[in-house]
Amino acid sequence: MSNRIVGLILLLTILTQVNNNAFSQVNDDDLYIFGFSQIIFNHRQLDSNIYPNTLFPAGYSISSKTSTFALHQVNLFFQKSINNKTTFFLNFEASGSYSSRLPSGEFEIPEGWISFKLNENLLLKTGLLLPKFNNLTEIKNRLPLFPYIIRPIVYETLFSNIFKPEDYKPQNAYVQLSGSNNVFKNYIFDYAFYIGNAENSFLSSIRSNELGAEEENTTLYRGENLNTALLFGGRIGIENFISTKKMGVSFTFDEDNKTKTENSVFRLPQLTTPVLGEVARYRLGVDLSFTIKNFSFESEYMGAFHDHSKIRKKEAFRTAKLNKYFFYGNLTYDFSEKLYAFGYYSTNKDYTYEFVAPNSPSRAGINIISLGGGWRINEVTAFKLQLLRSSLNKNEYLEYNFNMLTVGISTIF
Amino acid sequence: MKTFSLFCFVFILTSVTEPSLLEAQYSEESISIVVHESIETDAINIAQLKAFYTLNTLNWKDGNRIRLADYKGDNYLRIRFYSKLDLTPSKIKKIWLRAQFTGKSIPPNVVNSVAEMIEAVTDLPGTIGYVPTSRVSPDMRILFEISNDL
Repeated sequence: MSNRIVGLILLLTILTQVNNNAFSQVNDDDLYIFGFSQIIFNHRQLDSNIYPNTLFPAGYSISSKTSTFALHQVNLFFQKSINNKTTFFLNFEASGSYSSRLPSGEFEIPEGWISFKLNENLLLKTGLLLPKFNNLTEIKNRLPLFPYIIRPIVYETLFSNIFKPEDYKPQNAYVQLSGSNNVFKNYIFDYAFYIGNAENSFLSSIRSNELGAEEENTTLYRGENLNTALLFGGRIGIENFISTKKMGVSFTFDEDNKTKTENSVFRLPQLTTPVLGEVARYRLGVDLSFTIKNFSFESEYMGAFHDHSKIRKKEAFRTAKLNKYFFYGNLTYDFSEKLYAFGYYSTNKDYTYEFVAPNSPSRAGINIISLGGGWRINEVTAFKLQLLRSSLNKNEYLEYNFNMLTVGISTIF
Repeated sequence: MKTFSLFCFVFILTSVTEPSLLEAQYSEESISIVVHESIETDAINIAQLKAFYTLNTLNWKDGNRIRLADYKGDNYLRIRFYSKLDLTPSKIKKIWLRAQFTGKSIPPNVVNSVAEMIEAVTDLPGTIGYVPTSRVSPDMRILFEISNDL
């Protein structure tokens, strides 16, 4: 027997025998520290063909293949129960093989809040927090909770450089009041209302030299919200905790930052939007999830609707429309306690570039189909495999196919 | 091919859920859901029990936090208990993980044996657990009983 085989057997044995420390005894008064990491390897192939047209007279093709390892994400959580009614929670997150030396990846503190239990049914959270919007926003960075590795596009941090998640959903809030009431047998009505800053692109970034003279004079510190418009949002939902059915409606109101020219998601250099200012925006979300025997289904819809009345007063922007839509549905089947398979589909459409380039790629829509499975090696470690195919609907500018195979190991500690 | 077959063999071996033999002796017995006798609460029904274990009810009537205790692994007691709640160990783990990762609750107290469960319930204030009915001690209060007719 070769050394490689012995090594493989040893690795499997160790992984399946490792103690489950994630669920070990915890006293209420202790500072509780826990976290998770996910390591991935992916191989991806991109084939893109830009057709000759008025914006790109020559047209061109791009084809690339890459293989890479990455420390997809590491999160470290600190939780401290101050008393029966008060809890402190802190989350450190590093993604994309974070290194300040290289530099690569990103590091952030996405959450740091304190919660007060006002009564049995009402909870007040203050601090930097992930608000309740649909089912996934609150847990978007908790990778071990997901059957897949690569999350739906608006949730995946690896794509955040080319795709702005805040175009579809709120990123954070600072005060949230949430509660739940038993309305009738086994059914809980839950609700949350929150307030926070407008989208992150309004935050000042003194070192980036992106500030105008007026902004530079008024900015006190890096990361300050330079907009008086705040985010208001909430979610109301109903859940049957016996049969694990859940649905809800979410909403937000804030302003979309269109104060700078913007490139399209496909980085087509000639395809940009002009400065439109700050545009009032309403986001709507609907989520539905349920479990029937070994099947678990979850789905989400998001729509970002803009008040175009102000920008359409200018003749050049008369047909401007900035709305965006996203849908996602995932079905997981558990073969056993340890083995599962999943498949998800997502699609999103963005009308932002339609008035500067009719039948734009983002208006046509991006479709993603993903299939995969996982093996829960023990209570804290899971091996995951995922195939993902992304393509564009037919449009005048671009044909685009993206295929990715990803394997990963997720560990809770 | 040989390597692949060996890999599959080890994979299947490690994937099979083997209930703990330690608890197999209790497979014919009813299960009692117990708390320390000092906890002032009435008997509960199955929906309330599920609300406790799915973390929809987090506090006792006196405001103190409910501490859940559970067994490690996939032993007979655990599988029967969650089956009565229409859950599986993996489903309950997902619910607890979500609660843990969102700061709603800390994980349950995980024990390795019935003896450790008895110790957790009797020593740690506010703990709720489940034991074979024959192991219920005088300093425990039974809130609910799951018969063995599953």
